[in-house]
Amino acid sequence: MSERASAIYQAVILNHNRSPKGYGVVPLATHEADGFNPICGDKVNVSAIIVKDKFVNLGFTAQSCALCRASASVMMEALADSTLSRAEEFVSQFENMIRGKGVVIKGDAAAFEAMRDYPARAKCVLLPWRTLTEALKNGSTASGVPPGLTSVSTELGE
Amino acid sequence: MSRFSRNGKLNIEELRKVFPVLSRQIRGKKLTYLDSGATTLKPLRVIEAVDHYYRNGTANIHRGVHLLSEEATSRYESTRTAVKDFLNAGDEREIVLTSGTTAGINLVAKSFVKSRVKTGDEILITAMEHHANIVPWQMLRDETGCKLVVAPVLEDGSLDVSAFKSLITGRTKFISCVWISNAFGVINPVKEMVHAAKSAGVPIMFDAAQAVAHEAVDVQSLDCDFLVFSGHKLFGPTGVGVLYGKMKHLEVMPPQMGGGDMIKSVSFEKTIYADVPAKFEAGTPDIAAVIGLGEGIRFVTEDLGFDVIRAHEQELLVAAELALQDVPDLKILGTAHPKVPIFSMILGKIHAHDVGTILDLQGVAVRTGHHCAQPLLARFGVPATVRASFSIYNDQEDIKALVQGLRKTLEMFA
Ligand SMILES: Cc1ncc(COP(=O)(O)O)c(C=O)c1O
Repeated sequence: MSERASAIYQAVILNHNRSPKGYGVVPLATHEADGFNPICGDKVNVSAIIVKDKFVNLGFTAQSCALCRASASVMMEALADSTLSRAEEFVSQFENMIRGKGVVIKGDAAAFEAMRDYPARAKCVLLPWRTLTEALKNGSTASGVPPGLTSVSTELGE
Repeated sequence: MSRFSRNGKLNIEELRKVFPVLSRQIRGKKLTYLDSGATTLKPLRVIEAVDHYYRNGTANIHRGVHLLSEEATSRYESTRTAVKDFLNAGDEREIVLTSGTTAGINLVAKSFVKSRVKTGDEILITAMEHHANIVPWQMLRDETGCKLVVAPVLEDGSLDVSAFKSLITGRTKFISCVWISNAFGVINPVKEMVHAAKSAGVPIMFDAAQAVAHEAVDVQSLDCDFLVFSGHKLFGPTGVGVLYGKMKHLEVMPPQMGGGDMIKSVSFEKTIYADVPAKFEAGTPDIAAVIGLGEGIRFVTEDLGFDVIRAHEQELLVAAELALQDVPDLKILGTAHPKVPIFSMILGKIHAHDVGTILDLQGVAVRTGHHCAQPLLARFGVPATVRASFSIYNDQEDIKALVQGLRKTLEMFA
């Protein structure tokens, strides 16, 4: 395995991809959104129950590449039980790291740091995070919306 | 015998030397370029022709009497002659220079087909079209109320020819089909398709974007009504392409863009359009690209020749098919023959983008995704594949690098 390949596809990422945390749609979610990347066809759903500004339950489903799926799993792990304001802060820290603008985050999320050298794939990694942000903005709007219509990724640009 | 061949056999080492990009290192590795379906690499003679135009005599065309302008005009028009010979068109005026395949299809849809269809009429395409040969017809459908009919594709990725024929009816007003599928590399039986269209008196167009770098085209013997392609898939620059149309059609087609260069005379009361093909070429075109396209064509016809190209590419096709058989869990979509060496692959359960990235890290450039043919991939139940597309400058080493890269990907995801 080449050094560079192992920098992107680290064991942490491959493990999250193989056995993702929080996989599934949360029943009776208070917040939900679908994310879609029209360039590669990746689809993500993020659903959550939020009570008193705190995540009580958080889940995702994905038809996507390994990087997107692992990133969603890492997000689940990092934000379970977190408060909304903490979550928002974490999302923006993560995005800054991927864009090569911020400090490296501790924990499994750090495994994605190498992505700053691969902007073409940054979209895959950011899709779950963008979808979460959309869910927080929307409340529960995803039900009934065909996947792909809430195209979060259009904001990601090329 | 041509510049890069002897007794019909390609001298691949010499040929690779005239493609400067091939000597580039990619992420510390030798470049294995397997994305010619997206765009081909450019040989020195194309690069130099473009450079020469800018360096030695930038000038506009068809205006001005000074030497630079005359030179530019003559080099620009020499491309039209080269295209005419390349396609074996009967008349140079049948060659309209466009910005590419997409522009050509849109022009025909708006200028030729639109006035010929009404509610209830049908336009026939196939299930293996590039989005460029789907969306313009959907736009026309929404505007005119005509119907878009799609001929199905068989399990092996080839066109269901008998279904195609039976879908040509009294309601069919136009047929537009891809010649070689950009996603699968499968070659359509174009002669048979034209024959079916002619028997029903329906005009037919071919999207030859993928065909022109692999197959000799003879529009007179084929007898198609229109044919379009892009220069950048024929070793030429981006931003230039060709619409071939039969003279009798082009003459009655109204221009879609008005401006300079497409008129005979202009007054505020009345403008008289220029003749074919100038009436379709309003405004200053990409002159350098047109000159480059001429060189791309001369590269194919003078330096190589289609016998050499076909022999080399069929050798690559057979060798790659054999080598890919040994990769576990690899599925190839579109196995039908005849085809050119384009492989749409699915590697186990691994997403195409992960495969693409790991290959890229080995210096292997492939395309991942839907290849602008979403309906075709949907027909096979997948959102994305990994596409390796070979061209004349690829060799056995490239096949090895691809197979090795696929094996590495499998190891990583084991
Ligand atoms: C079969 C086919 N048709 C049409 C196109 C569109 O060509 P262009 O983008 O150069 O207009 C392509 C290029 O990808 C193609 O492969």
